[in-house]
Amino acid sequence: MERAETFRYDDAIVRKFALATIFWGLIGMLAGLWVALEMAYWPANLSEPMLTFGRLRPVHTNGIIFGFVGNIIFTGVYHSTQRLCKARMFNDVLSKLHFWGWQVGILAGAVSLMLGFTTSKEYAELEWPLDVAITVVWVIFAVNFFGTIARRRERHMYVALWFYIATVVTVAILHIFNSLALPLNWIKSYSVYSGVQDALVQWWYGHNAVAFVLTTPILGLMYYYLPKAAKRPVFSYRLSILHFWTLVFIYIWAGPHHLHYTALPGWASTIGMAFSVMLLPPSWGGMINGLLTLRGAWDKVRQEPVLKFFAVGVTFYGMSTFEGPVLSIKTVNALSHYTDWTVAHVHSGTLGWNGFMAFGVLYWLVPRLWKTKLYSKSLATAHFWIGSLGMVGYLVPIWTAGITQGMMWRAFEPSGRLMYPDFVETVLRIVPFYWIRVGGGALYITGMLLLIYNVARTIGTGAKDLSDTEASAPPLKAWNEELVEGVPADVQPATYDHLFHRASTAIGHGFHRALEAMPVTFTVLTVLAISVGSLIEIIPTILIKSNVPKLASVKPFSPLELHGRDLYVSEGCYTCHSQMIRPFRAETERYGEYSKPGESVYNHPFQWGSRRIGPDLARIGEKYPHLWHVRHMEDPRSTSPGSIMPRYSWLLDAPLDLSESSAKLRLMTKLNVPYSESEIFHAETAAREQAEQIAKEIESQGGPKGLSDKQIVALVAYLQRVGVDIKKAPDFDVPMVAQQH
Amino acid sequence: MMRDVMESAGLTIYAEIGLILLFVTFLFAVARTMTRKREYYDKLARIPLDDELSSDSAGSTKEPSEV
Repeated sequence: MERAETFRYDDAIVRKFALATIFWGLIGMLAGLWVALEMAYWPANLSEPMLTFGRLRPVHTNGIIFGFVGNIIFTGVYHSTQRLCKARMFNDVLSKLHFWGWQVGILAGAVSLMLGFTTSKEYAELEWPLDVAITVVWVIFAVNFFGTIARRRERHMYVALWFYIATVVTVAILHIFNSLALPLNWIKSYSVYSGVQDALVQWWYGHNAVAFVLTTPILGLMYYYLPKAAKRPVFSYRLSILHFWTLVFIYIWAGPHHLHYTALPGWASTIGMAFSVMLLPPSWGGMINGLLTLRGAWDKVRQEPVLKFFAVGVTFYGMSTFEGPVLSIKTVNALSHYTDWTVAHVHSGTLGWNGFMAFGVLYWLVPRLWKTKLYSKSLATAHFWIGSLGMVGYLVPIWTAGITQGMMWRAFEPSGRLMYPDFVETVLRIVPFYWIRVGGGALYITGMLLLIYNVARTIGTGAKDLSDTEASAPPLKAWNEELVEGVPADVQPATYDHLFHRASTAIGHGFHRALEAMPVTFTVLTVLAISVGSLIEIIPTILIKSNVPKLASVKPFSPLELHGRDLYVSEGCYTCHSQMIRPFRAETERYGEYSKPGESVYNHPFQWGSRRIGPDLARIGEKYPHLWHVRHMEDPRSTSPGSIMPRYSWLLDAPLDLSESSAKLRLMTKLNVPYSESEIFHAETAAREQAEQIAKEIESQGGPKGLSDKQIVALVAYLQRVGVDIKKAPDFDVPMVAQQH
Repeated sequence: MMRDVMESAGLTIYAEIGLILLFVTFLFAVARTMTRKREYYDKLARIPLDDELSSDSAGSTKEPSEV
């Protein structure tokens, strides 16, 4: 027997991450409650730019994804990796840098989003300096994590570690490629991709943020903490291996299902659908594996709130991963896309799966980290029931709202006219459901408050001496040392015989075991698995011209329109308005000609949107006089009675700064947008002239005077330009491949 | 330039080969996983439970075991 080494786990860092989870969980949920209230009751926008829906919604989504779920992942990873590797974290300083870097990043992110600094790419809204900072923090995490694995005292890497590895490498790849952008200044950059390509890269990222932030690491937590809490090993380890590899091979392909019937080439969308449907079996394999781990322990589930949270969390994983493939089927998606159905779907995942798994882990971990007992089991049980009720109160009305609105959008009179031609009718019908959602969300947060109280009291009774837990384990033998055991003495090291013996021993122990013992090889294989899908979908769309046919009549924006577009992005208009009309009669009747791929070639980034809380704007240009837009921005209800849109009255007062016009155009030329030297040189003057012209027209239509140096004219200029180019010249240069929808 | 080269190179066959390789690799992983003995996996599945068993030869910790 080898002499055991004694070492201490770093529990202080785990405690920090656990508290950060709770802090950001509360902030993210409160932001969610606020935006839910804004949808039910528009005055909650308070006419305060920082609190309008368009700016606050990304604070909610990013706060929950990276603040709440991100921190529970790190809590679990730092706690379980040390134990699974029987080693302290690689480096305490890196651990601290990771912790503080992440928290400061989220805080800076929340503030910058409220200030209107955004790229408008969903769940990747943060501007480039923060993107760079996040990359640095992630690298610190990766070094710390892989360093720990390298120093492990347990040869085999338990399945939870593989899920963590997949997360670390995939998130890095996704984040870097989706965030590639050219900076204009410290707070503004433009995506290097445009239109169709940007949409594809964004939703390749967006869907895999769901896969590799909200799913795989939480599965890692499930495979560690569920067996711990149930005090029995996972139901089938073999199934967990299949679960892992199938998810990693398939998940990465699914992104294009977010773009069905859009201007994305049909082949990419079909691949996305096929792979999304294929995701069902592995996901359910994982759910079954989790639930069956509790077999014979259901009596404990009755007693133990931790297991209650896990049982329902895993069940929600199963439900979400059933609903996801269903929604990815094109015919279902034709109804569900742009509606609240998607919102309900994602919330069944975040509230049910992420939230409840996080609560289970916290209730299990906090007493252990503070070396005490949980203050109150009955409070935790109450949290469970209130949280479950809150989810019902959230999900049922929002599912209903989504399907109701989707059906209303496509309803026709027998005469062939739209049954609800006025978009706002379809909004007013679902506002009552928005109120019920506010109630459901408030209940869920009430549960969270119980957790905070319970954790605070638990910590209050915690041990005074919180020194790190001591552990001991024999050191790991070197890889070759272990394998030469039993090698006959006459076989010399470093000969072919020796190598052959090593190889045969490795294979004899099983292919996968050899793999598990080799983190580097394992990681490389994981990267390969996720790369194949990414490359097959993305490279042809970027490199093959026929996938995005150009339209001769589509021209770049004028400098003022470009400025207006920046305001549109900054205010988060895309959070409520799509700019992508699908080729359905119900949509072309309502909005006009369906959107073509070539129309958004100069859109860095694309603005197709994902939800229609308000109507699509792809053909808004020249639909109304300038004054209509001014009045509408000042008070949306003056032009659209019943509208739930926030007021943007400050745009009529805020000064228009056109000083960067030339720089913007020059940057655009680097992204292959064709502006001439003369246009770049005269950009500011041209912008002013157009602003004067629009202001004059507003005045002549009976509107307010003196708007030529206000932001509103830039926004009006942009809105009046959206989607008009193809109307101007009927001679489209559309090759046959574009006709595949 | 890059686009023209890529377009005329007829690369679609590579995507198909890549997909087939991916699938074959996957099948191989599945086959190997399914052919291992149950006892071997039972041992691995106990890894997370080991750090609470003080008598276990693999190592021990001093943690409270009950909530």
